Amino acid sequence: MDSHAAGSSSGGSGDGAAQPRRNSRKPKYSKFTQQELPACKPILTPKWVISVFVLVGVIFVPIGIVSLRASQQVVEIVDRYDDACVPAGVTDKLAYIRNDSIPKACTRNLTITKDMKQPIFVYYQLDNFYQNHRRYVKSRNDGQLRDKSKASKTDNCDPEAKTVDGKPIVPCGLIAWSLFNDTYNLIRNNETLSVDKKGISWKSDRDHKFGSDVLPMNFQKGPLQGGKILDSKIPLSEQEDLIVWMRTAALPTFRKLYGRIYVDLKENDTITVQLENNYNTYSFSGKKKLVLSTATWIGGKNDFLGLAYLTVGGICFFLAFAFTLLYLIKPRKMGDNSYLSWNRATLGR
Amino acid sequence: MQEIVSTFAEMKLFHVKSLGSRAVPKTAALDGEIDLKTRASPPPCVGLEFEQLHKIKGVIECPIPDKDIRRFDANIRLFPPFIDNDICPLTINNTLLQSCYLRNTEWACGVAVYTGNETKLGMSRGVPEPKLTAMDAMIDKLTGAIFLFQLTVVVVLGAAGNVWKDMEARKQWYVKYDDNEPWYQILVIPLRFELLCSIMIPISIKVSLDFVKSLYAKFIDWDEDMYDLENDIPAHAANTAISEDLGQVEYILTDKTGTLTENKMIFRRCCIGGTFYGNESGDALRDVELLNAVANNSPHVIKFLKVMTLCNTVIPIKSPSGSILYKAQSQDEDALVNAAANLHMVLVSKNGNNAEIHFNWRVMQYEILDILEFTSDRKRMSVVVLDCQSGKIFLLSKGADEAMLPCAYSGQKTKTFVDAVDKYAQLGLRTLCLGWRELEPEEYTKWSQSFKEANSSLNDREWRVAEVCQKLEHSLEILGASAIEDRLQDGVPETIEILRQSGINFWMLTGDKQSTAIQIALLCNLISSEPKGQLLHINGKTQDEVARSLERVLLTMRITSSEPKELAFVVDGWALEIILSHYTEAFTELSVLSKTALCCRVTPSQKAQLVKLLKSCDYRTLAIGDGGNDVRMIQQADIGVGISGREGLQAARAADYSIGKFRFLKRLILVHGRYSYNRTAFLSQYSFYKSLLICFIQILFSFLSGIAGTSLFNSVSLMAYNVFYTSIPVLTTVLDKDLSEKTVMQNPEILLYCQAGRLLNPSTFAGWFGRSLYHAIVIFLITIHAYANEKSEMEELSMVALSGSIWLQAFVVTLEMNSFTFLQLLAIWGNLIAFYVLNFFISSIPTSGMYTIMFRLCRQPSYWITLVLISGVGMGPVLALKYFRYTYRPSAINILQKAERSRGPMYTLVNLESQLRSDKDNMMVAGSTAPAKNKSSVYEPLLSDSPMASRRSLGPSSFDVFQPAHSRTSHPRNIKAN
Repeated sequence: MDSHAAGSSSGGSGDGAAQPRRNSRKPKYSKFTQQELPACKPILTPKWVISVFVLVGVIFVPIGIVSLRASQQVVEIVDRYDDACVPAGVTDKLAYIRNDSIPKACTRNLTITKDMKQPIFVYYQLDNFYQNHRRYVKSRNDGQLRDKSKASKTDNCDPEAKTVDGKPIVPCGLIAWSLFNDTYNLIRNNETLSVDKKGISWKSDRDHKFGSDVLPMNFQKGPLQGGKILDSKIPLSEQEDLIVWMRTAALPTFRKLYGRIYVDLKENDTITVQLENNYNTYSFSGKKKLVLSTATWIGGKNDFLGLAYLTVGGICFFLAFAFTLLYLIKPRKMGDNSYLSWNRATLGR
Repeated sequence: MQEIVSTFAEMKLFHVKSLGSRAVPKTAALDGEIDLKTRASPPPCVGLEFEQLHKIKGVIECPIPDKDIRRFDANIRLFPPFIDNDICPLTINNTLLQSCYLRNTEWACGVAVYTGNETKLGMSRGVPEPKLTAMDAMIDKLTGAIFLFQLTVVVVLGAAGNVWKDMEARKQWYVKYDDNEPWYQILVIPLRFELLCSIMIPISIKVSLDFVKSLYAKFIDWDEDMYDLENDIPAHAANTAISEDLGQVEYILTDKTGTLTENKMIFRRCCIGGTFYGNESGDALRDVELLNAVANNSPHVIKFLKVMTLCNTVIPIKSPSGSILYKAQSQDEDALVNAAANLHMVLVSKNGNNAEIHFNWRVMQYEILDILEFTSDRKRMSVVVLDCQSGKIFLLSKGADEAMLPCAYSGQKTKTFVDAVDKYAQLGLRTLCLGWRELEPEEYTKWSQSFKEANSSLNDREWRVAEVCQKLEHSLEILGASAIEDRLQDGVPETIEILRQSGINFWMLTGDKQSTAIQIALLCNLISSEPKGQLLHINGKTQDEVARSLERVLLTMRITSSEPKELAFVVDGWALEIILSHYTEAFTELSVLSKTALCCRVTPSQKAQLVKLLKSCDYRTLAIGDGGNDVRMIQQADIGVGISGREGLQAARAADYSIGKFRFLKRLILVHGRYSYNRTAFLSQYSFYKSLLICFIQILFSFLSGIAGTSLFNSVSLMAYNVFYTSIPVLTTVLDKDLSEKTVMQNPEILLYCQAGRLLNPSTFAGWFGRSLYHAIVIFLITIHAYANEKSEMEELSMVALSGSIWLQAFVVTLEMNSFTFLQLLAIWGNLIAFYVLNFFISSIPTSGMYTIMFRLCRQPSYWITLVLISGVGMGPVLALKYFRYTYRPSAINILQKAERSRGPMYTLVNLESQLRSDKDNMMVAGSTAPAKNKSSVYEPLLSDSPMASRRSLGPSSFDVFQPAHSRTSHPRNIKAN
């Protein structure tokens, strides 16, 4: 029967017929190749799940309370002025706002409801303004803003890329063109509150996104004036209103920083706001608001996080409670094979 | 041609210098067989001198190129002065095929017949039919559904966007819409949305799937437990794309010889001239009576031994040590020649047509005149030999009993042989009948002429040769029957039992005779004997008989389907032929009803036909075999498994998976197939989930950006989201194991989940779809509320939303994984850290849009608070729901998981018998309570795993064969396609 042994080995490794096999083709052992890596296999035991929910509740509720308190501490005064600043007799608000010959000055009185500690942030808020519109949000050229030599680069800026006679606009694009141009002058007790407009933009934007040697050119020279006209002697990096505006908002309701007041305001103080109502939101019935607000570690007034945390924490406690109750009423033994459907009928017999 | 030179063209051999004018090429590259084959120069060229070779002139007629590597029917006619004008046949034996290696051959000279793509190899290269797994098909379907969804979204939002644009956006002066714009502007918004939604269909899924699939295949290659120590054969996955299908197999069609059995043929018993040898000891070679008979030169025994020695195509090779090795193409021949050698009838050499035999140290010379080769249709082979001493011509034949006994001379009593064959078959032995006849020289000369003609015919050569052979093979003297044992492989019954427990149906397709097949089937647990099981026979010679038989069996099947009986049917090749051509419909019903079937005496093409039939009923089929006759079945089946056995590697080469032993099949299916299915199910649905998630956020954002199609995320983030942030953690799912291998082996029923496709189907997908929608809403709402008013800067808000998605992804993957190795933990949480590292990096490039954003955010407490809130709100309900289902509506997998973790490996109490009973009970319950609702196991969601649902879905999916089928369409499994 030795013919068998030899016969089966021939051809196994080349032409050596009766050569004993040295290098076996046996797979090399390793924990990875054998899929035997040590693994932990957690399963959803009642104990584990209930403690997770309790733990989440325990963490969430205090965070919620802290966040809510922080938000509540913020004092915020919001004044909508778009309608109020149109003289009573005007029916065509659009014509009114477009007519440059009519003076747009307007005065508003604000009452401080609570003591406000400095710094107080002055925001303007626009509603129903789509800075995130596709046509709008991309209508800018970052290279041009940063670099003087790229002034003629106006890609993406249509339809505000070039003047009628073909000169490049700096800064080009719809965003810059539609720069907000209402101005506020705050007066308390006949004494002007100085609104600090330095440093309202991001420092990184001033340093790296907007060139200190890039001057506005051919700006707002078209037939239709969009918004503010920039001083063509001031470089872009110092046009902070523009820099703030160019940080487009992702939501149709947004606030942008107008300036800061470094004076404490007292409860019941009356602030007179002399404002120039230039910006057109009437064509799309957008609202304009002036906002005075303090800030805490969490930011401005926003109860959402606090309330959400409290709600979630509460629900987690409820779920933990419900699961515990369910567990006590309907206990399930772990890993009872009799629950297997193919065993059930047999055992039930 | 030098040794080890690959042949590039197909050559006709002219002259060969080696062992007796034969070239010995190795054809491993061609057909996978590693044994050497002999190729000879055609007779007219034998004896030509080397110098004459270049002067040869002649004509070779050859057929148009085809891909059959076993046939080459051509003619050669040499011109004078070399040869008379005789036409000489050329066969495959005179041909060197492309890419063969010559061994033991000094040189060979030939004529190139075919070259390039016209060679046999070139022709058969072809494009193999790509195999698509059920899962891939499902994923494609889901992709299609998502595509439709995407189109709907694009159309609806595109229309809404245009309406909004005309109603509102034109009033927004700062957007500066042109009042009289060209008509095609109306397409801009839909196209924008198309762009936004294009990521809805995850491109990364293909890459991820390819990656994990190749790892599945590697795991199979690497598996130590599937390494065949005996023959040094590791398992190999040739097709890396279909591992998931292994977990969804419903039918296994198995070959018998070499697959279930070892194919190590050992001559055990024989019946010579009415005397039984080897009955007591079980080994004829040790039977003293036989040895005595040999010693006494008993004429019957001598004739018998001569047939054993000569009637074959075995080539003896003298090894340097002096012992003789036999190269046989069939294991039976090998066994016979070896047995004869042990009985002192030693085939010493075959030189050309001359065979030398030593019998008791006496030398006998024979000239082999013709070989009437074995074909599966004729089921016998013969050789015509000339006894050089006496000058007599003999026809020696061997073959299957039903092919041989009708050829016995009239008057011979074949009863004893029939009995002997039956008896041997019942013992599971392979039988061959041996016969011989002395030929008159005139008869032979006459016949030889027509044989030559038939052999040189170009058309239907095989059929003509068979016809001519028939003319000679008659009036044989049946000498006796030999019985060759082919032992069952180790672990075959256990493997079959486990696989049947897991709901897989077994069909045994064999070329062997019915009784042997039944015997083997009983031995390996495929069928049970009465009263537990019942075997129904379908037989008959005519169409009517077969029809009646089939009808009867079908009726019995339907009636007994409610009884606790294991039914199986047996059909032979002849009846099957009639059935397949006339009664396919009835047979289809039968195959659906029957868990087990034995098909005997089937040809390779019938095997393939049966596979096709089952596939047409939408079953996942796995064909396993070891020999060349299984290749077609293996290629036809959804999954082909080849056993690298003794019959060469032909089947293993053609197969998708090759293993060393049948018993590895259970590991291949239950471990590798099942894990692959589970892992892919998670991976693919997760890929859709993450793409949908980001897409839903974009869609939600469009409602706040004037439905204009603004992208919330910048392009860098979107690209990195698919490529880096979300694709790496989920790849570690290849290491995930929901249950340990041991548990699966102990509870093979768990495979039903994979078979029924319960982890990936439209309803599980709906769950993932809902989850992504929910998560998108959570992320979006929380982000826009937490980052409202003065914080609503575009870049910041988009980064908050992106971080939220990444956090949720990490938690989702963690929650859906079942086991964590350090690699998984590293990938999941390392990925989260990498997300920050990458974004810090991008945020420090001044020219990028994201400059300083990430640093800014990380300094804000509200950023972290927001993310924790997103994770809490996103995961809370998912966790709660999962826990609730896990505890109160557990799937069988969950139960086993709990069992496994709480008390280690567990042992099931129930055995197969009670399990079968219970499932039948379930069936009846299901049948009575929900008769109207057709079960469709494929779409049975894990979600609705109520006790009733699970019973209905788990129970019948394997045993629905017991459900009475009133019509074909009423059968649950047949409606899968609906």
